[in-house]
Amino acid sequence: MRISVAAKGHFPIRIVFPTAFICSRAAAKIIAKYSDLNLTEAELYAALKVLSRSKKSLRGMPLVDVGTEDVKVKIWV
Amino acid sequence: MNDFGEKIFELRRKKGLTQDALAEALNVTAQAVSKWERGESMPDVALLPKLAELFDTTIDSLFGREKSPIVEYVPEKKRDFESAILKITVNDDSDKSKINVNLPLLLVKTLLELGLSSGQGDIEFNGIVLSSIDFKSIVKLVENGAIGRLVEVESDDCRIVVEVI
Repeated sequence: MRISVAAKGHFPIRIVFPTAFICSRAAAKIIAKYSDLNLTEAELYAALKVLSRSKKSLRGMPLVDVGTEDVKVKIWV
Repeated sequence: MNDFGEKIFELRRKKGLTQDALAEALNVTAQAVSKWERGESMPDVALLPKLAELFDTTIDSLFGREKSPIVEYVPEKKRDFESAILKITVNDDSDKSKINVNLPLLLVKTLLELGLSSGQGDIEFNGIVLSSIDFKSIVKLVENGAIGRLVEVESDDCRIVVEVI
């Protein structure tokens, strides 16, 4: 999973997580604790597994591409 | 002239070849070609594949044995649910922001099943509640083969497009 953040006046940030980590129980635990998704660790793990399974279908498209005047965030799986 | 001779004559003329040119291409004499066309003799069987190839046709067709074309029913391609992507584009003119989310439909279905919604089948992205879109119905539609642009909501300063690709 690649996350790139470009904010006006700041250095761009690019973070790369191995898919194996993102789709692990450890990642699910962290996301469940710190995100506001309101899902349990087990539910998140199930969703991440599905995401990992269907990543091929994204065919190079970003999962999320958000852009405002000041910030651009892109997430690829 | 028999049927075979007529066919050779017709194909040769259509291709703009003289008897000499055809004879040369097949490594036979022009007299032999002339005899085929007049129905006085037939070419050697070994020449038939080359003859058919030269005229971009089949050996069957040279002998007037046209087969009716096989009509195959090719089912209309349906996007496989597992590889379908739910593409959501939100253009908000008020703050000039653009959100583009490409969600594997399988993931949307899982999230809905897990209850990541506001209760009426809506999905929320960073505070933007896509309340006008019933994702449960969209999932059902796609499961039944729907594809393409499914929802388009436009207001004064916001445009939401939901499509399945």
